[in-house]
Amino acid sequence: MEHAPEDDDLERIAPMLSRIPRTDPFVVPEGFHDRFAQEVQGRLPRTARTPVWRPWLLRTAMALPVAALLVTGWWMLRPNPTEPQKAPGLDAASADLAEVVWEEDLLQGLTDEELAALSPVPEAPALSVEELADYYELTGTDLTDLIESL
Amino acid sequence: MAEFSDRELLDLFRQEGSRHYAFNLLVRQYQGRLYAFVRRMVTDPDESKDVLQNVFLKAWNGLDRFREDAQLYSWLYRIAHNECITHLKRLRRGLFVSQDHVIERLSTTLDKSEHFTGDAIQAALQRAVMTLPDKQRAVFTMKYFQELKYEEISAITGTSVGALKSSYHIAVRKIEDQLTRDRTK
Repeated sequence: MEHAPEDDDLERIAPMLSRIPRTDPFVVPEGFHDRFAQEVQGRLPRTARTPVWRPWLLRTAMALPVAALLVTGWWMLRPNPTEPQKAPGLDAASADLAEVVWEEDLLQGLTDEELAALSPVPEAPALSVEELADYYELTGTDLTDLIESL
Repeated sequence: MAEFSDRELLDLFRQEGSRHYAFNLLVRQYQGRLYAFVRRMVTDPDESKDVLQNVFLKAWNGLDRFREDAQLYSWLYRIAHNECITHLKRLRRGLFVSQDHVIERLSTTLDKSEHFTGDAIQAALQRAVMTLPDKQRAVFTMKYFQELKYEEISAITGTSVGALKSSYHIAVRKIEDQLTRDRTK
């Protein structure tokens, strides 16, 4: 057998090893190489090769329920069209603030009397039945006329 | 048997109708060289056959992903190399024994004439090779017996050429020492 270039070095560093013939001393069982390829074929799966698109389809099938859940969640949480719509872009705090600003603009330039006139009239305290009777007697109001005017 | 190029084998393999036929050609083309390597590593003929079958089954499963920037032979050799290392590790773990016991077990093949036809010095060499650590033994086997180039071994093992040269020279010295010791016994 033809030796590699490194073998010159081998003879120097390993003289015993370099003198041993490199023939293969292992016996190959008779007919091994004739039978082996058939034996390997016998262990191969016979099913058709998985098409390239199949793993892709599998991933899509797994993603579909997740997508369905997301869509359902969005559908359930979306704003109800039957509920009264808020002014677009205004939340509750912004709407209150706009109202205050709007009122300030309206009241600008009014006199104190005009402002006092706009102020709500304080409600009169409710009278008891006896007080009311005394009041009508004092003012001479005829109760029959009063009831008819209602 | 006519040799097929990697391209021819792969083209045939990629056609659905000739997939098994192409793989059969591939096995026939490479089984001899790979068996020689596996047998040197594992020594027992039955275990060597099992390991080699696993090599080709893994090749079958991975051939679709084989990148053609590498040689088919180097790729198959790499699978064989990894399977041998895994087998030897499993052997050691399964037996719960030391390296010496594994060597003893592997050496029994050398004592049977139906498995080994070498003379005493060849048996001594094989025993000396068995004393090497698994990966060093693989490097020595590929370089010394199979006469692969360092670049090819580098592609198979994923080790740099420099590291392979060092590993090989250490292995050679160890084997020479072992042979010298055997001779003086």
